[in-house]
Amino acid sequence: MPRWVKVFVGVAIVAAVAAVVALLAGVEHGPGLHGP
Amino acid sequence: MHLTVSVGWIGAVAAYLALDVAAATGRDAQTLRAAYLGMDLIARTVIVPLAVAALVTGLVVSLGTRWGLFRHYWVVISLLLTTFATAVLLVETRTIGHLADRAADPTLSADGLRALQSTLVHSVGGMVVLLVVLVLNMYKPRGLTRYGRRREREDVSPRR
Repeated sequence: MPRWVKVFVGVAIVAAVAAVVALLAGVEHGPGLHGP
Repeated sequence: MHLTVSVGWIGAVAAYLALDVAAATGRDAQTLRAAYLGMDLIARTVIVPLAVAALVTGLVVSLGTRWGLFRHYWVVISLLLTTFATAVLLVETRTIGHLADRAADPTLSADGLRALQSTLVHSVGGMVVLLVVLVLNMYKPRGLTRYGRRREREDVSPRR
């Protein structure tokens, strides 16, 4: 397997874990970024 | 054809992103209402058809040429990312439609409009995924899968 594929898969796994952790932590879209 | 719909998909997401930023940061009720309605229209009538067309034409092009669907890592990764992006888009379209329905309600106050959720996480994430697929398709990095190497050997020395 080429090195770029290994790096790509590694980054994808980190992103997927971060997304799952965010979901489990209850992070939602939120009401936007409206200033005061 | 595949190039046209794929790049068109990215352009449509860029237009959607502009409205999404306006919906997430705007304070004016008219701007917010228009942004959510525009997002729904663009998602349903432009982005979804282009996404499906990109997926279908990508399958046709890869299966109909020497690139194949499972011979090269960049093709396999592009297929996975495009399928994932299309699936998330189809689910997200329902959320966008719900937001547009809420925004279209003339009794919804400006505070109510500002309280509507943003879809920025998905639109920014979607744009990143599409740009990654674009780069993969432009540079076509080397790397044959196990299946691709086997097919290559068979092509060089066909069985009698």
